[in-house]
Order: sequence, then structure tokens, then C-alpha cells
Amino acid sequence: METYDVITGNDAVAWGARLSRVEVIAAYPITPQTTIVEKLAEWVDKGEIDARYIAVESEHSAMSAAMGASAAGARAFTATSSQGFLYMFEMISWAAGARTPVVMAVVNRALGPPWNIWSEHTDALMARDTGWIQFWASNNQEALDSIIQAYRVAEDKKVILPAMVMLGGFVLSHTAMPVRIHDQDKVDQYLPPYSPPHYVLNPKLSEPFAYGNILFPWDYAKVRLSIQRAMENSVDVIKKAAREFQEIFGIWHGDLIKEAYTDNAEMLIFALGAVAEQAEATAELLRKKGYKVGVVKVRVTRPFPKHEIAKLANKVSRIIVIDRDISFGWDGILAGEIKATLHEHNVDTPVTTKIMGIGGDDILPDHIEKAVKEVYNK
Amino acid sequence: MYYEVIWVGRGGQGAVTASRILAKALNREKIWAQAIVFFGAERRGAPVYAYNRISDQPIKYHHFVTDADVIVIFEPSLIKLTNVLSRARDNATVIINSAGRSEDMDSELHKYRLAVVDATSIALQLNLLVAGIPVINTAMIGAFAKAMGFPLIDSVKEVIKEAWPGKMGELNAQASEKAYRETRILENIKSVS
Repeated sequence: METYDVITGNDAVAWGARLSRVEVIAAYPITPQTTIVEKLAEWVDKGEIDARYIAVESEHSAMSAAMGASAAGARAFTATSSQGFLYMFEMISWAAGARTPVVMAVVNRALGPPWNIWSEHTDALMARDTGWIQFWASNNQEALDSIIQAYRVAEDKKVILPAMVMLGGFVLSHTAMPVRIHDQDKVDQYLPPYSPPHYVLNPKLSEPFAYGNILFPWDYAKVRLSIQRAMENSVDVIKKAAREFQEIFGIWHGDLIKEAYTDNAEMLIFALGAVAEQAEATAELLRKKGYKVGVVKVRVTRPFPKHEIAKLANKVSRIIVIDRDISFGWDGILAGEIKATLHEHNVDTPVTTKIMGIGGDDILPDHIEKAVKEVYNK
Repeated sequence: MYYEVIWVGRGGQGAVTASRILAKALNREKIWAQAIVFFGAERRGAPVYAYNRISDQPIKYHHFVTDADVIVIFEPSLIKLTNVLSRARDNATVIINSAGRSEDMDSELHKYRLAVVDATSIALQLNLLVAGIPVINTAMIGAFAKAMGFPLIDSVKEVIKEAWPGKMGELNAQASEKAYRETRILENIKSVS
């Protein structure tokens, strides 16, 4: 039965995993992720979900176990943040190479030192070159719904890649807001059980096979190219997954991007996650003050929505990218990606990077308004 | 309808839980509410803040509440300690747990629409104690419902009983209702004086 409750972003993620009927959960606690796996552990303990919970001794092992479960044909889930994400990194790369469609929630948190538990996007963006599909949730409903959509995309036969779903630490993870918790039958209709094309424990398999053996250069490149092809295929799969989600549940979070106030816009703001929704609320105010500002929420950073972004950028005269992250010695990470995209598509709209909210520094509407005014009349 | 709320209590008094219970009670009445909390280096007794945004529309803001229409103060000593009243908007309602006569309280408070409840006595009367500390957060939600006219006290009680099944929920629901009945409202003190 569909219910409507006020829950935190972390509880929303746990519900997303539960409704996706995850079969194996392997995780290690870290603030601000911990309450996701606490909730799932509680449900496993009470027998409310039919899943195996593997308590591991580190994030490296969490991903190893999730990957192993996925290779054996199970739907696997994990979650982490920040330092835990970095400790897991070797296996993050491996999960993509091994083509195990694990779904992981990443509760974005700044990296130490200095020690900090608050929101920043640098952690997950460091994995943009690993072969994972990357979704960014802008509110708690989107966090729940993106977990379900992520399994649909990751397990698609044209894709078979792992997917991570990001949500801002505390900004969403520990903030409670109304969330629709979907009817299980509807989710089952949207997300069928995982049926892998190949898996290790398949008794019907006539010839056993191994994962992750050494490949010589002439074969290795072919396998890596197949990841690139899978990423390219995922663009249409993500669009279809978003469309069908809307048909069944009546909710639209965007596909690779989501536009707000982009009609007749003279300036666009690009941002990720809750920062994008914050920008959207600010744009609503700025529109009333006569500023023709639109917002593009970049919902997926891998595959990067190059065509969609170039098309929108070409229609405006100014662009601001708000980055709650930084690539030291280069730029805001999203800004760098967007600048490269515009160059590739021969779009010469000037792009201004605004790095904000580092280490959880609160991003107020005033900050966004000030940035817009600075650039608008330049 | 748009309200921003600041809850200020001391670590262990349940301000965070109060903001979440309030949001859940409002949700039952189809009122959209966020419950936000700032997590820092928590320790018992130190000031703790929680926030709500309340609207008839979904809210897309994701920052902490800076200035508020409603400020809920778990004990008078927090006024000077936190300077929280500097964050009150004009015409703000201040809800305070105090045993003292409202007329005798900090003159600063009388600039605002004031709601006073003796939540500590209510908790003690009901023997509502956790680790020897009176549980006042559920009473403060009752005071909020009285002062603001929403949510309905029955919604508050239902959510409390769901959150803590059994005797604990029963007692907390009683505390919220008792506070709802006993909260005194002092309108526009400033214009009178």
C-alpha cells in the first residue's frame, strides 16, 4: 500500500533499496551514511525484508562482498561516504570492470583533513572515471526513486554497469521531509527481478568461467571499450527508465538533466543535487525581480549529458556553474566538465564557476542571488 | 502559509525529535514540513538547534533556518546563552518552558507574542523521566499546537503514540495534551506597555 510519511533522506534511500527487493546488503558504517544501513539491518533482523546482511570490517570489503554477490546473480546494495568511499576505491573501479550492477548510495561528505562530516560533492566526483553510472538526488523523494531507477538502468542488458546515487550529507541525509513510499506491486511492475546474462553460480552453465583474470593488451582494450559502449547505451536506457517511472508513479525528477525556468532564459545556473533545487527556489525569486534565470539540474554525471547541456547552453548568453567541490589546480569539477562539453559542441557561451558550500558551508539563497547579479550584467 | 521555526534546547532534551514529530503531525493534515537539524559535536547539556519549514506547498530550500517566525525555547537560560531572540522576525511567536510568572520574565521576551508553559512540571507530574532528566519535548509540541493553532493536538498525540508504542507513548501523548491545555498566550505585550 502506498504511504506518505515525513522521513530523512537516509530512510528514503533505505526504502528505495527495500522496495527494489535487494537480496544482499554489505556495508560498514560511516557518518552521515550510517542510518541507511542501520535501517536495512533492522528490517533484515525483523524479517521484514528477505535479504542477507553482511557486516564487514571495512568499505573495501563491503564493495568486495557486494560485487561477489552480484557476480553470483543477486541484487546487491551498499552505501558509504567520504573517507569510506576512498577506502573502497580500489573495489569501486573493480566493480565496474567486472560488470557487476551493484547499486550504492553515496552520502556526500567532505574529505579530511581537516576532519569534517558535512556536505561536499568532491568524494563521489572523484569516481567519475571508474565506469559507474552516477545519479544525484535533489530531495528525499528523488533519493528513494533514484535507487529504484538505478537498478533498472544498471541491470539493463545493454548496460550491466554499477550505479551510484548521491545525496547531500545532512542537507538531505538527516533532513526529514514528506516522501511518498510507493506500493510494492507498482515497484515490482517497474523493476523486475534481476536476471543476469551470466553469473558465477548458474547451475545451468555448461562451462564455468572466471572473473577478473589477466588480459594481455590486445584483449584488455576490447573489454575496456565495451564499458565505454555500455555507458553510451545507458543514455537511452536512463531516459526510458525516467519516462516509464513517470508513467507508473506520476513523478518526474528529470532524466539526465532537469530544467526549471529555462524558457526565455538569458542565463542558466548548472548544479548538482540539493544545490540545484536550492538554485531552483532562488531562480523563482529572481524571476519575480526580472532576472531571466533558469536552472539546469545535472541529474547524471556519468554518462555526461553532453548533447542536452550544449543545446541549452547555446540558447543563453551567460552560464554559472555552482560547484560544491573542487579539483585543486583546475576548476570546479562540474564547471570543468561543462566547459569541455561546450568546446566540443562549438558553443561559446561564457561560463563562470562559483565554488560554494565547501565542507558544509551553508549555501543561502542570498549567495546564489549575489552570484547571479555579479554575472548577469557583465 | 509559510513559517520557519527554530527549536533550541540542550543536548538530551529532544529538540531534534520534537521538530521531526511536529513535521509528521503536520503531514497528517496535508501540511508540508521539513525538519532540519544541525549536527555538531553533541554532548549533553550543550545548546542544540533544530528547525522546521512549514508550508502549504512543497519547499525547495535546503539551508538552515536563519530567522524565524516561531522560536521554541526549552528553558529560559538558553535566551542569553544562545542569543536566539536576535533571530526572531517581527511579530514572531516565542514559546518558552518556564515555571515563572510570564510577567516576571526577561523583558526581551515581551517584544514578542509569547506562549508560556511549565513543561518541566508536567514531565515531573507524569513521572516522565529518561536517565533522571525530565522529558519536555513532547510537552513543547503541545505548546506549539496551542500557540500556533496547528497541527491539531490529536495529530500530535497519534504521531507520538506511533513513535513510542506502549506506556512511553501514552505518557508522552498525555504530556503534549496537558501542555496544550495549560499553555498561556500573551498577545502583543509591547502594544499594551
